[in-house]
Amino acid sequence: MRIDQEKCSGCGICIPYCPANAITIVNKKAQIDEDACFECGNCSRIRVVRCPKKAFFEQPGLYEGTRAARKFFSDPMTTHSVTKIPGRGTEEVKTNDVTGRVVRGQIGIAIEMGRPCLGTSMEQVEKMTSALGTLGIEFEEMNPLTHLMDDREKGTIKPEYMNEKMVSAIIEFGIPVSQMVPVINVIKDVANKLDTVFSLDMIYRFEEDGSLPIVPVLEDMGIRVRKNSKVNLGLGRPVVTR
Amino acid sequence: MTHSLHRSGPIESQKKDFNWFMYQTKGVNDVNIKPKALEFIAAAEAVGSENWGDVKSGPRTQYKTEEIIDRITDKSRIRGVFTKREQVVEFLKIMKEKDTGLSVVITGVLSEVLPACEEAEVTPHSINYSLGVWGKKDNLPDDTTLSITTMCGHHMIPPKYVEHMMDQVKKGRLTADEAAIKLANFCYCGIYNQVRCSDIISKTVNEAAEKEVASTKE
Repeated sequence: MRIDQEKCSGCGICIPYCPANAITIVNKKAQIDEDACFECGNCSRIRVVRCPKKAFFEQPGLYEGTRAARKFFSDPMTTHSVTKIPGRGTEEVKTNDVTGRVVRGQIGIAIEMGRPCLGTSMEQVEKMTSALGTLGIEFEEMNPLTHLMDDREKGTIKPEYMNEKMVSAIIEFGIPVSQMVPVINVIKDVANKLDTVFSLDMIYRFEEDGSLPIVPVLEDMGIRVRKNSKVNLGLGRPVVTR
Repeated sequence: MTHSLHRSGPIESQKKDFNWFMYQTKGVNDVNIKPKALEFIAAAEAVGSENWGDVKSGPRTQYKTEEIIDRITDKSRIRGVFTKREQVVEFLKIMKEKDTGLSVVITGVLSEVLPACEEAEVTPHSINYSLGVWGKKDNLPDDTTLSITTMCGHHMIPPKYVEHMMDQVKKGRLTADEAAIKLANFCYCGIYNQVRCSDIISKTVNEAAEKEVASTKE
């Protein structure tokens, strides 16, 4: 984002609205640190941020370069023009009753890099994807991040995107239950090497008797399953019964 | 994805926090969804959904029902908030009866959600677990701030703004309810629970005031 220096009165009302802490007052005018800015667009939401001078604007050509990735991975109102895929991830469990993306015997994993609050760079994302690449992970085709990889087998990101920063980028893939332990171990190992955070998700299909036998396995690995979860009620049609 | 999954805070507080979702599947049942969306909205309003919205328009805390409905398209994502298990049960009973064919999802504390499903005679299909936050957690804000920011899963709420709102309430410039609405307006989707947020702000501000009084007496 940019600030029209002619219009800016230096009132500073915009400062707390920036999730990247990229706005400061310099010489009585608000300035944006372009390297820190996620291009989320919060500062220009006129019904949320009431900049009295309407001084914020999107920089020309934003959607033409690699910086567009910041926008697409940070502003929920955008559709990814580089990858042609909307949103930061797939419909995951939300439509699993219809898509059967994760069936019995499998699990779906999502690693939400940068969430909560801190954001991420593509360099941090690649630390995780390249480590997972060593396990032969097949990254989710319908996730925009997968389309920014230059080698999907190795999990490496195109070099020109490495310095881009965003609110979050979601690494998604499915694996057989039998592969869960080595994959989780790799994720735990990379977690210790990151300069940011991630939220970890696991999708599982209820067993026929309604049980969830994966929970004790996770607990044996020292993973605490949080008490809140997202549950698909199986009311979509046609429903996948596997 | 998973933007309602990682809400945080004390479990008793989270037990008053549910999200409902209507979801069409790309290429399967994603055409002419508006009549079905209206069924979801009618059911949610009938049981008193505290907030709801469409990511393509905005939340009810900021837009009128008619404005959101007028702008519904096949790309819309309709979802919202409940604060009581009883609302979840009634909502699920209605949606089961309506049988729209669209996917229905509820996020919340599992010990509340699963009994609600049983009571509504709905059989859960699959689950997305939160396995917590990993990595360099030293840089995260405090737990109270996180319990407020994580109610917007797209993470549009800056911790600094939460601090600003707390300060405004402390100084008596805003009520906790007013601050909660301002925070809810950041969330495009309508899944922000402004009722829970107001409770968190009130509790935090009151506790800080009590501490101040106690330290003055010392």
